[in-house]
Amino acid sequence: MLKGDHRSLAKAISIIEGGGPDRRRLIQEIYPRTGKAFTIGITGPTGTGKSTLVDKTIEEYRKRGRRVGVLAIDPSSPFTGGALLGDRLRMMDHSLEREVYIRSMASRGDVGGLARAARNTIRVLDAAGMDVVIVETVGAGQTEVQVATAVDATVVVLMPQLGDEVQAFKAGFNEIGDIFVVNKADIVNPAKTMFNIASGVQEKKG
Amino acid sequence: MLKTVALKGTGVPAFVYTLETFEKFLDEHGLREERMRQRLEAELVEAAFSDFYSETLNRLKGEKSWRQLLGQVSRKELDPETAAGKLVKIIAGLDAGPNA
Repeated sequence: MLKGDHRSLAKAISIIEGGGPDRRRLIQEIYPRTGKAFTIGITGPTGTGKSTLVDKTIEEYRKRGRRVGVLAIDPSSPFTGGALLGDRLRMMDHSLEREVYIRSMASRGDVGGLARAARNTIRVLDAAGMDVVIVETVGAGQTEVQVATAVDATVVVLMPQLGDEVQAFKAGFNEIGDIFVVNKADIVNPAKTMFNIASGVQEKKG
Repeated sequence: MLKTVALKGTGVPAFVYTLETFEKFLDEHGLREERMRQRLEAELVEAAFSDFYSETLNRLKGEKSWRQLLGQVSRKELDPETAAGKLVKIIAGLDAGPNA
């Protein structure tokens, strides 16, 4: 697992999800090897193109020679019984690469349990030698916020339509973002969205 | 704040450059370590409470005083607020038990 073998990683993450004494033993073993990966949370409302952005971000990091681990937390995860989303499937193409590992986790179930499993999965990917670990979540519920902020940098993805950013800020995204991305910036002029984001962040700073 | 059209890859190199710059900034100012310490603080408390909660529920299952308390509340002999106070005492007593 520490060498990044995909099958061993899958097994280790299943142990993490299962909980109990096996999880504790695994974390005890790997914890001293963690803390090297740069961890990124990518979150935002549904339909803003997060999975596509993650897909292209993996490509860009690979061009720079960095190994990438991805944890996608989504109720519609293809591995957990949800809809098979085209974007997510495109992202999965990368999982055939040795230097990229992608794992989905269902966001159903208890809040604390998922956040704990996500944090420990980040540790597994970190210990396995991933240079960058990306966690993708949807929405601004308690779980999503807990997970999206269990990282070094939190990215909020919005899009220039329907006052998306206003709704997002009402949901508290301005509280958690380090970097804001206005994706799908070719649909309509993103200037208003960017102005609203800047105002929202300014408001947060008081 | 950045603009992207991820589907076409537009703005993605700038996005990754921003992430790398932010990573460097956090490292150079010791902020990564500081953020990690804050996250650990929250995580430890949360995990401990979660474990305590599960363990307490399991141990209460076999506890006669807990079942009696529940019965009193459902028969309206005792209100939930007063019962919660009594439950705290029952839980505190569990720690002094043989499994503690």
